[in-house]
This record gives sequence, C-alpha cells and structure tokens, in this order.
Amino acid sequence: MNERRHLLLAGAAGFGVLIVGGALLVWPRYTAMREVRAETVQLKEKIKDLSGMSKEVERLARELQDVRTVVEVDLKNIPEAPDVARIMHKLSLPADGRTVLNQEFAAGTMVEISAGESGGARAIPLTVDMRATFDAVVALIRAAEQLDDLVRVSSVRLAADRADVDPEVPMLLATVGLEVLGELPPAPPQEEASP
Amino acid sequence: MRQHAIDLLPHAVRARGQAGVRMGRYIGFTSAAVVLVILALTHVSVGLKSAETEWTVAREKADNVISMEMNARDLSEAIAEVDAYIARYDRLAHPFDITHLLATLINQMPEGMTLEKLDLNAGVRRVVRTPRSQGNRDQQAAPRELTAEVTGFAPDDQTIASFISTLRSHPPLEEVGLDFSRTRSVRGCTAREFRLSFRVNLDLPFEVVVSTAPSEYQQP
Repeated sequence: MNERRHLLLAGAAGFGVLIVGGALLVWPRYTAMREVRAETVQLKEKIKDLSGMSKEVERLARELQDVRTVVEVDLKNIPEAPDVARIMHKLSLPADGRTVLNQEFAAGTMVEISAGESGGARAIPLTVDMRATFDAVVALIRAAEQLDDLVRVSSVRLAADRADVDPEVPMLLATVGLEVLGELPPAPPQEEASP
Repeated sequence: MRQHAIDLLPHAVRARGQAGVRMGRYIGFTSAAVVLVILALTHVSVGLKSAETEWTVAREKADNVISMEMNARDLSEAIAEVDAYIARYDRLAHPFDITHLLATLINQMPEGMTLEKLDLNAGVRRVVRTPRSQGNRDQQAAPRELTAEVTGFAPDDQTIASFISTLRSHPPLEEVGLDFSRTRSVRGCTAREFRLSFRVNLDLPFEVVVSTAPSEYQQP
C-alpha cells in the first residue's frame, strides 16, 4: 500500500468519525433545538395576541351573560316532566253560578313534539271545557299563558250558549286546548352491536 | 563534482519510521474530527440550552394566553348551548300570547257587530312532501301556523268589509278572507251573518306593541 493510499484512508477515518459523531451526537440536539425554537416562535405569536384574546374573552363573557339573562327573564321554564295536576290546580276556577257555571278538565296521553334539529319536548294535552262568561274564559287563557312553566294554548273554541237565559251576562261554551310541556328524557346510551 | 546520496539507514528502521508517520496521520485526522464533533456538539448544546430557556420564558407568558383560549372556548360552547336551548324554545312556544290575539280581534270589531263563534287552532301545517324531501323529515321541523274561523253577525255588509279590512292591516293576520255572508233574522231584526277566516304564521317572531288600541303586533 503506498503512501497516498494511507493518506486517503486516514482522511476517510477522520471523515467517518465526523459523520458518525455528527449523526449520533450533534444532529439529534440540532433538530431538538430547531423544534424548540419553532415552538418558541409560535408561543411568541400567541403572546402578541394577549390583549386581543383578553378582549375576546370579555366579549364572550358579556354575550353569555346576555343570553342567560334572556333565558331567565324572557323564557319560561320547561320542567323535567309535565305536571298536569299542578296546572289543573292553578287553572281551576270556582263555579260561582254567575261568571262560571261549570268547568271540566280532561288530560290526554303524553306525546312527543318535534322541534326540528334543536330537539323536542314531551307534552300532555289538557282540554278545559267551560260554560262561563267571555271574561272568565279569557282569564283562564291568560292564567295559562302566565304560568312559570311553558304551557301552549293549542286551540280555543268559543260559541254562544243557546240555552243561555240571561242576555245581560251572556254565557259561552268554551273549549280551551292546552299542551303542558316537559323535557324529553335523556336518550339511553346506545350499546354497540356485537358481531 | 557530483555526489550521490548514500542511504545507510537499515530497511527495518526506515519501515518503522514510516509506520509511525502513518499512525500519526491516522491519529491526527481522527483527533481533528473528534475536535470538530466536540465543537459542533458544544455549539448545538449551548444553542439548545438557550432555546429551552427562551421557550420556558415564552411558555410562562403564553400559559396566560392558552388559559384565555380555553376560557374563550368554554364560553363559546356555553353560548352555543344556550342558543340551542333558545332555538328549541322558540320552536316550542308560540311567538305571542293567544290572549293578545283575542284582544286585537275584539278591539277591532266595529260597533254593532256580534261574534257568535270563534275557533282558533294552533298547530303544525300539513305539507305535501316529495319523495326526495321525505328523507329530511326528521331534520326539518314542519311549519307552524294558527288558523282561525270567526262567525258572527253585523248590521250590514259594509261593517263586515270594514272589519276584514282592519284585520288585514294587522301584521300577524294573513289571508284574512270572508267565507260567506248571508241575511239572518236576529231577535226580529234583519242582520248579515258572516264567517271569516285567517291564518297566523307561528314561525315568525312578533312583538306586542301597546298603542291606542290595547294590543297590536308588529314584526321586528
């Protein structure tokens, strides 16, 4: 082996040490450093947006407060389950023989009401048959509309009472259809079908 | 006079010297490479340490922003939840009280007119669906409306026409129309019996406006 070849081999050995040392020791630290710096740049970008984010949080907090106020003030409560007995108790009028001659309640079976994509509710139909004056009937409808729980007036049928003998205080035959609403029960968790 | 160099060094000694030189070269190149690697390693390690310190400082500052981001996301989710509740409520509840509608109807009645029968029905309008649209039945809620039929009697047709005209000028009432009008005797007097009907779209938002008349509506 001549001198030139020995020189090349020595250079190759040095180069090999350089490559192996670089690959095993230097390169992993270098890539880690690049990643840390890139992440630092991202963090600094976020820090720049600190005041903007603070304002955004304040705006969202105000918006949430506003919508919660709307729910508390403007919307009625939808109870977990329709409480027909309580509604009947609240809408019951004394048959005084002057403004209300009689009043009957009839509750139907519970049905589900769809509200499109936003979900739905349960409702129990409640029919109120009355023989009463117009004012008494309107007072009953108003009482139903002013309840804390959501009650829908689904129908109103008023007709002059042909058997009415007192033209000074005309009686009406009234049928008021109500729907007492409640929340839908939570859907049971779906079990995965076994193969 | 020309002299010739005479090499008196024994061959073995020469070979040993050359081997030492070769070994020195190997050691020299390798040492130089090791030094280069150590320099690069030191440089990168210092850089990494500096980057990590910088990252730690930035992270502490950014934690505040990140917590704000999470806060903003929680708030957005809460708003979306309340909005969904309001949307569902609006689909379930009527946009106005039926008593206000009754009040509007009664207050707009001309003098001399008497109502005999009133029939209001609020519910879902029946719509004919094409086979293509039937697939979306679950997602699309059916339109809601209130239909009304009012039967009564008035002194003449002009009074009935005036009543219908007044009702047509009130925004929630749509398709106000006269079904029939005919002569009828009421307690010995001739009068005109009539029946009119109208619809109210319950999917539109309305707000009650109290004016000179006790209650009216307008679309916001």
